[in-house]
Amino acid sequence: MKEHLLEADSILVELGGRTVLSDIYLQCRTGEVVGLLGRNGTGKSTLLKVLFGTQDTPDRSIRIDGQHRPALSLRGRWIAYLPQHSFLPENLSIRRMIPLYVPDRRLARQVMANERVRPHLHKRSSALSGGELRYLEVLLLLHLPAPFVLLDEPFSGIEPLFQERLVQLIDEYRGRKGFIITDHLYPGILQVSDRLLLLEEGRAVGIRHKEELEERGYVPKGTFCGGAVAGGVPGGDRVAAQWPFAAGGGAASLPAPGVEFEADRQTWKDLDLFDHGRRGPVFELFNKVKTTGGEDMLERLLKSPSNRRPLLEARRDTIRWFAENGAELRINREQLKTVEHYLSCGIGLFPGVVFDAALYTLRNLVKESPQYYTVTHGVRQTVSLLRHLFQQAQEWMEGGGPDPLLGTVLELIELVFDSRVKAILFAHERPLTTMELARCDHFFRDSGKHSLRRMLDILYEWDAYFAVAHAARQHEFCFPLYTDSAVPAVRAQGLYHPLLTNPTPNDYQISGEANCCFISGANMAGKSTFLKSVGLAVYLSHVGFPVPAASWETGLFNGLITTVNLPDNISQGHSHFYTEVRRVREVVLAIRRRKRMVVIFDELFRGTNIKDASDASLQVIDGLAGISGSLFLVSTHIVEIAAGLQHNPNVFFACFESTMEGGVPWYSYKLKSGISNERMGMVILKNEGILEMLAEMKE
Amino acid sequence: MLTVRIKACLHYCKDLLPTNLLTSFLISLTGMADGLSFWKTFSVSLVTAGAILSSYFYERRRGHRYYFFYNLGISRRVLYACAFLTDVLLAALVLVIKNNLQ
Repeated sequence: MKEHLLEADSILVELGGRTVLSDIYLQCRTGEVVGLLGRNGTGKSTLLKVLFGTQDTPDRSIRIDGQHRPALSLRGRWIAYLPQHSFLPENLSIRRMIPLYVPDRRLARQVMANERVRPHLHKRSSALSGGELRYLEVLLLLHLPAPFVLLDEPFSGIEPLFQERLVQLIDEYRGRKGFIITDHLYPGILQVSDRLLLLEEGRAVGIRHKEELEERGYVPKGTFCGGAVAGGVPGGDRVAAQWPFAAGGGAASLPAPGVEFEADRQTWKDLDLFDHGRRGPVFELFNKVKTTGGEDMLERLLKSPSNRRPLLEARRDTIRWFAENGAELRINREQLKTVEHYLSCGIGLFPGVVFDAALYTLRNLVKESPQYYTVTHGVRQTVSLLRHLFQQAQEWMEGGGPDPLLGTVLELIELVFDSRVKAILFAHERPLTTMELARCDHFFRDSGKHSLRRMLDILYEWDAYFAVAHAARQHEFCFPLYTDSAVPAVRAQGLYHPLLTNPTPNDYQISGEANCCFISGANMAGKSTFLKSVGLAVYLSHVGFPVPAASWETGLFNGLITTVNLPDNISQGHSHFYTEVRRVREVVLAIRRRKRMVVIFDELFRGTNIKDASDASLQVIDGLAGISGSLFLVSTHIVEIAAGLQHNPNVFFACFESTMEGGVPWYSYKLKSGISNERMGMVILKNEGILEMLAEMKE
Repeated sequence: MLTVRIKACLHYCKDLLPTNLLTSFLISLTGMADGLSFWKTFSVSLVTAGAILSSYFYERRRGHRYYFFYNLGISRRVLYACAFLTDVLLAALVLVIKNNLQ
């Protein structure tokens, strides 16, 4: 059976003065089920209607197998559409209705013989239940010759049994048809979809894992924590089975093999990078970008750490060059906004034929239309932006930029594959002629639109790099060195936490020979901050970003898991201790999957009694230290277990010293080797005057 | 497929017809009160006010049914054209019968 491809882009829909859809790109192949999710009013049904051609829109481009098709030729022949409300005539019996949708007699007989249709043949559609009617409607649409089927809320308002039957029906036909399905009953969508798109602020965002739906606020927090999806269509979960982040059970929040460097949401939260979809203070430390696109790019970079050395070194070298040369990216923010608006405006292309172009220009010279202004102004601004960008890139090349940067600059030039547009961009600044405007417009919004998008992405990437370079200069970060040693190791000099005002730097190293560090120290001695500093340095170096240290040398790891501020989970009914136990299980599973990991635990088992905590900590630390290839940093107040660990050659001991000076605790915040038996908890309590206050209240 | 489309169009015309006939009948009665010929008014109304009002009521009450036809590749224009053609034929038939009866 021939495979077909449905593509839609440049869709712009405005309803009641509000832009519902803008710059949507969507594709669907036969044999694929695309799930479309989105909150109420985000334009899911509107998008399906636009695809089907029943929703007016100032601009849209729909292609089948790469060929543009007008709306009228799509309906019935290429696309079938199931609207939200029943569309079958009520005054026709099912027996008479089937031949209308299934002209082939043999097929029609098959449909009539369907066990769920046969009992109702003599009835009219109005006599069917909601589920029976929906099933029949989908069945009829699937028998149309159209290779693509759009289903708008097929599961809503029908009982679970019929939801499951619909899923079976879609499964039966998925090899022959391409489906785009939208519904608020997202479990059904998750179950049948191969790919998910979330409509958000007029854009279609690709969803890579289920948890992203939580992060983007589509479903309540904690929906996917247990791996099970509440309610909706029962049975297996196709997305869960295929997608890297969606595995069920205890390791639900950890990515599976195939991801370059694993770090889960708890780790992001502990490192103050991202917390429940919000950007944390460490992200904001770097966030000195000039553009919105740059900000998104910075987030994307920080959310996609890697262990590929060439990529990390290329990024590091580029940022270092920007930092050391004090270069500035000269971008006009307003100009960039204009360019983005122009690219997503959805207005028809500037006429390409001389006569039409001249006529169009003349007409607009007499009375300028807003569309003409948007296009011509947009083209001029885009040309100006690119000229400026090329000029800067040329300066960097002349200034001896590093090889990765030069590679990107060459890619940038190569992206302008139209020689006439290239000539315009590299010419001296002068007003553009009408035909030059037309040529550029066709390149920017048609033949070269993907190239231009890539050029803008490069620009945003540079914007993010400049922001990071600026932060590195300002906070005196160092650039990481990567080692290929088979033995995992990290070595730091002058390591500190970047959010502290006057940090005390520490030297530290840990390697595979003694891969478990047992850290002790009094309350407020700096254990948690130090663990966060190490975690942040490991993470940032695996993004290719500078590190808050005087020097930082690291091997390449497959992931980082930190457990510093672990909350309990009320929604799941999990106590703090049980959450800790599940976390330890996740860590063990992740190490078994990924091997080379860095694991950080701050205070193991604080949610249980001292005896259980002591026994459990001893067993777990002893067990973890026996796993070669990974590094472990564990802090605890239960120093009594140190004696039980001293026999283990893989465990070494470090502590933060503290002393009492005139009844006031004093901390050096310096890490030294050994075990600290200092206890400051009661002193801190007394110094805060809490005990006195309680005594006074008692009197 | 063409046969299927023709059948579907006829079904649409059949759906519109009762409303059109009723509307045209009421208009003709009003016309009679003003001294107009009942059958002539009825015929004219079948292709004008009756046709427009029946399409309007169909749109209001059963607008989502158009998807039944869209999925068969029949556009709204084609449906309107078919309905108009049927109304013209019906109006002509009414006039012919009326003249022959006289």
